[in-house]
Amino acid sequence: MTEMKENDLNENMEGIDLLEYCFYHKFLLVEELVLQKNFLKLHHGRCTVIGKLIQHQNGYPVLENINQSSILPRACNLPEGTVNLRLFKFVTADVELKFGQYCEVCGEVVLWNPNSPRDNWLSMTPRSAVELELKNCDKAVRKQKIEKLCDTYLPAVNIFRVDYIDCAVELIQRHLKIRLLTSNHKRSN
Amino acid sequence: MSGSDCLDVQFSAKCSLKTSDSDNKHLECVPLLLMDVKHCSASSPTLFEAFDAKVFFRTIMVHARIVGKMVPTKNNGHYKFEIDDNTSILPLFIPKKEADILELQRLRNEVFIRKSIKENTDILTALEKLLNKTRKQLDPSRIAVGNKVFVFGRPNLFRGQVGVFGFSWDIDTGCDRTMELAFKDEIIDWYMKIYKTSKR
Repeated sequence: MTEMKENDLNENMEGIDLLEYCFYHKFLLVEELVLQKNFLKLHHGRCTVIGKLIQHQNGYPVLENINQSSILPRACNLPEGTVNLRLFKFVTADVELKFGQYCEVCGEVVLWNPNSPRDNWLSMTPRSAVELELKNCDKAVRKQKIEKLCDTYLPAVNIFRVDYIDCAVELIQRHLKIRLLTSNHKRSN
Repeated sequence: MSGSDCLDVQFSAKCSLKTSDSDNKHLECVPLLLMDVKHCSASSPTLFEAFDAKVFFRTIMVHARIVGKMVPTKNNGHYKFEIDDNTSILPLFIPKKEADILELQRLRNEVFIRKSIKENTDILTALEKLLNKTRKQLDPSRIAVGNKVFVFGRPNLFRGQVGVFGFSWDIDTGCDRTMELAFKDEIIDWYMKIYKTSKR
């Protein structure tokens, strides 16, 4: 019985390459997560993001992007607070939230549906969202459905740890430099 | 700004052993990212190589976040942690140092008794403070999940699995993060140098 289910699932996911789960907390920008409209390319797994912690008008905590005009070229630069990323609180971890402060958040990338009723705001991993939406659907419409996923779902982060920091921009700069160094080198190999 | 300059100088001084130029020398205290620790290999039990055998070293320095902790059993002399520095995740082993802690306890008791005689109390108080501080540095049980730590140690290769064996460590606290910034700058400088020389 279980074998059959697995087969079904594999058939459903055929031709769809999800990224491998990332077990380390990869450093990402808030913008990278929020502005990625193709969920097959959305970072899958754990991540570290740095931003400003703000309470959204609907009551939940969000992480806003920071103005990085000092370290990024002007074309790649968004004003502070243009985009935000919802944070979900891990049930197990007792995290204290101080609004209005810069912080470094460790967690896992998830998706949530802002249109669902308020008490039903559940987060799920990108993989489960894709599998749920593609269950029992034709191969032909599958591609369109994936493209439409970003209309229903938004990326968010399940918090594992929040650290409050003073010099957010400097820290982002170092993280980006290290990412650049390591990814450049990988390519040359 | 002068504060961080000062830290830079300190780090460079500490890591100066690695910058001495002779090619076949084994370096000490090399700052590494965990993704490169993961790919290093051992030419002998205490000598290691990284970056496809371009760099030889004995000891490393890492800065990472603790994401997992296993309390040791009675038979096991090590604490096992999982550390993550945004590039990879590796196990970290830190010895319990039970014997050292017991010895320290004995010394503390002695100081306590001598203090009751009320002679040389200044020195004895200073000594007591020193012992308390040492004990804090020795005992790895206070490292908690979520802390960021500096670890001085060596790669630990056991049955094909790579980990880090910590000789000494310190928890990096505070929200100014100057130490983290200084370490990251040191890493960036050091990696640029390696990648430049390896391209030639």
